[in-house]
Amino acid sequence: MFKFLMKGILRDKSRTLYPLITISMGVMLIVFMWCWANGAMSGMVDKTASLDLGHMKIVTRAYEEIIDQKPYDLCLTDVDELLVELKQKYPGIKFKPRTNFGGLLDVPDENGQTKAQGDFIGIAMNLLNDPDEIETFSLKDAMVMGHLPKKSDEILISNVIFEKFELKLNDTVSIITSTMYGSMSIRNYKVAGTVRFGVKALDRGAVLIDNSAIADLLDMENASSEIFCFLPEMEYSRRDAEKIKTSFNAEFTDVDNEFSPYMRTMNDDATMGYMMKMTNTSIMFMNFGLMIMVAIVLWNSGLLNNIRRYGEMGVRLAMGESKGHIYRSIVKESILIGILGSVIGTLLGLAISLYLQYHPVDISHYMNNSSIMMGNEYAAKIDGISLFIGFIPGVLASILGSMLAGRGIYKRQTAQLFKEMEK
Amino acid sequence: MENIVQIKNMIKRYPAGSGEFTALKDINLTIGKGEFTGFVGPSGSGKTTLLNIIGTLDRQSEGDVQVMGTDVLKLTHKQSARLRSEKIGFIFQSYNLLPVYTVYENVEFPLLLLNIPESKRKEMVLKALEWVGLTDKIKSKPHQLSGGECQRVAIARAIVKRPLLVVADEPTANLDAENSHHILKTMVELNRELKTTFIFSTHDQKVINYLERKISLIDGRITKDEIKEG
Repeated sequence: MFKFLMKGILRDKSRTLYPLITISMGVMLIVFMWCWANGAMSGMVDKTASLDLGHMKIVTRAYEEIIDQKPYDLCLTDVDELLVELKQKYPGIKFKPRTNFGGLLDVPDENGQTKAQGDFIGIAMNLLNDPDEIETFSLKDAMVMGHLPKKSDEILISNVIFEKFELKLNDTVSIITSTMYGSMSIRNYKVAGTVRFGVKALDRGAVLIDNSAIADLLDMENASSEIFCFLPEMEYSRRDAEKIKTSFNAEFTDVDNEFSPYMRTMNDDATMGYMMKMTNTSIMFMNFGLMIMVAIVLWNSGLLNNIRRYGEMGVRLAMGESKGHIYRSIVKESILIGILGSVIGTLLGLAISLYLQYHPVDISHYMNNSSIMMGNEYAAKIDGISLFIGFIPGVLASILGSMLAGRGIYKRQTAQLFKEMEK
Repeated sequence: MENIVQIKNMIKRYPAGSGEFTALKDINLTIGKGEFTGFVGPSGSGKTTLLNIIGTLDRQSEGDVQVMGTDVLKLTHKQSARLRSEKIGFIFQSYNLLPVYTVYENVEFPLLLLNIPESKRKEMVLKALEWVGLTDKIKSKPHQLSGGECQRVAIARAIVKRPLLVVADEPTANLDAENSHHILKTMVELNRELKTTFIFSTHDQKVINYLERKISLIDGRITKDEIKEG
């Protein structure tokens, strides 16, 4: 009997090919949309993590209280020793000391008089001896002209300032700022290159300087305002981050010492936490909505496909097949087609997503001057959920459609069913 | 003679709007084994309804219906399906062959429901197709056959399991005269050879001419019950 029914399924295109196409397309759409939304979310998280928040961040307790002001006078000290200890305790986690500071950028003319002046956002980081940090910060991609600093008196500046101040590469500029103790500090640097991140906040006035320079410039010897922490493979996981934060704070934070180190996660940032919650919720709703729509289509398809077969069911009943047997056979058929369609749809969805994961779409044109920290490329991202998310509507909706249509077998008189074949 | 069908004071009503429509009234009938009988009457006289009740595809509203000694009203869906699969064959006006299956597979289907082993099944299917003269069409699909051939496949499907009873609803309605006679001759031969009881519903004079017993129905009542002499 099984062989007989299988023959019917394989030969009847309206029972196999068309439902398979419908299910596959629906499932493909869901899988792709999931990966695409996941990619957008990851892009935003990755960019924000690499440029602004890290997956986790170590600061002093005092700094943490007014972190929005980035008060480098409340910075971490003995950073080299702390880094050695951290690397031992948390292998696999990357620790990158960075310091944000502000000030005035002064551009002198040939006589040494101020030609132009403007404020800037300074970021001190490992530019000279840490290729990993260069990569984390996507500096090579962000370079517009020139080269990465090779000496501690070389800096990178945003291309916007560079053009606005009519600078040339290797020009000398002065940075006027205050040290961590509050005294005025003026130092000269050479412009080694220019950068553009596609993020308005940075592109408007970023100055990148090596950490070794801030000992002199900000009087921050062996100090850093923040230590960025990145999880292995640069994959953010809130659960892992929270676990490390709890363990770190239990060991390193001293409630009686406001300068003791304190770790916070990306989700602790008010804006980012809200953004992530909002985005996650939006993605969930969007995918849920899409899933419901596809489910309705598949349900309807399963329903119509089986209603169309009422006549055939009537004949099978007349031949002596029981209603239960027919009902079970159409449900089993829908499970088979549902699984097959979902597998095909998932593979197609993953194939498209995989392509877009490795061949991202360039959205730099749309991201110019964007205040959102998002990469210039929009890539899909395959995760564990994408492997099975399509099966929910693909299999369940098909089964529900068939079950609903199958109810007609019980509700109708047998004589009425085979009359429907004659229509 | 052993009775295949025994009906006493049977009434069949259908819901119609807010009330009910009585399709069959006061039906009293006995059909014996090996009869070649037909319900004759105009459209709407209740012959197909009566045939469906005898074939356990439908149920009476009142009265007693015994088919092969079984009270059909007491049967569960599963039991009536079992009765049909073992003892009743059906022939429909529109053949109702399963379109995706070959002639062989359509005829084989009732035997699959009876879990008959493959070798025995093959023997029975080929024999049934031999009876209806279609052994050269076993691999054809219904759409490749003429109307007459389709109805012969339907006959083979009805008799392949050697049922005690075959019910045929307007079996020649879609056939021309030549095919109708061919089909009817086949059924007469099967009736004689296998002693299968045939019950028809028809208003086709060609079929009526072949009937040994003619039960006339008008407005849901049996008005005449005539047995052909000789």
